[in-house]
Amino acid sequence: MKKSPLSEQSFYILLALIDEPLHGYGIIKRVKELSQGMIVLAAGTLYGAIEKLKNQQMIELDHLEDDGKRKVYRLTPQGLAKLNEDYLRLAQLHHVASQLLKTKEEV
Amino acid sequence: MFALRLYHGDVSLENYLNKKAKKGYTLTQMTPFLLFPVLPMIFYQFKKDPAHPCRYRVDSRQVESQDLDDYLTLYQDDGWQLFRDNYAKRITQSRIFYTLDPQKLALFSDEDSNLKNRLAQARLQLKSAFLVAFLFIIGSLLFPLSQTPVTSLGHFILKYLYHLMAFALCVAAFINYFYWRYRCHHYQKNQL
Repeated sequence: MKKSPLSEQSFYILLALIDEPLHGYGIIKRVKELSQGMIVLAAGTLYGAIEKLKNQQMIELDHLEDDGKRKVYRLTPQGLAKLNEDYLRLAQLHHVASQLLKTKEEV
Repeated sequence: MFALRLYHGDVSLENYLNKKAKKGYTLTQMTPFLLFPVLPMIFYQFKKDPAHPCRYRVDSRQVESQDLDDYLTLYQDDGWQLFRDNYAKRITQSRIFYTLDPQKLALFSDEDSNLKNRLAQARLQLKSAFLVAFLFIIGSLLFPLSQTPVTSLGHFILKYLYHLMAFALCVAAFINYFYWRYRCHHYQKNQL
């Protein structure tokens, strides 16, 4: 698995698939909801991101819908592990940054 | 309304369709101009429909046939319809999408995907330039414009017109390709 950090959009796509498998447009809607409208993925961007995450084995095909017209994806154990790894990295970063910024504000 | 235009890349094609759309013309068909097959010329048919202004976008992604339904359904769900009456696929290998939704601006919401699409378009244009240049060279062998020795610059240009056009086409396509390659590389470097 690639060790570089996830991009913000990949992070949201993986988060969107935590609860249930979703098809492409379902992911777009879920990401918009999770990011409170801050991230609105366009179809071309999402399609490319799905291809990339599939190649990195972080998501995989769950089943087909609408006579095979829609592919529904699910998170893989590798995807979940990567999500956890990045979450811990961001949490550590948040912790360090908040301490330093708080100290700076107090001075 | 009909229009005949030399194809020189998907960016130019996209801009052309959007310019027409702003004037109230909707694309109805695209066919290759077969009267002079050596040149990548496209015959466009438009209808006047100012009440429904379209926005066009060209996607140069290569999609495997088994993934095509999922790809098109995703674009459709997001508000982009495939323009199906494109019979000039021999010339433009990319797919043309359109939307009537004024809120929909782009197929890509991030710069990285946008740049990659531009690079894919430039790559297709480079391949097409090589093919056309090859046809120009064949044309120069079959139908030489002049067989007398060169006497002036004008005569040189006339004699080697096919070669000069082939060369110019390849150079332009190379510059375009390396420009977008540089932009992609520069963007990715700045992201680190």
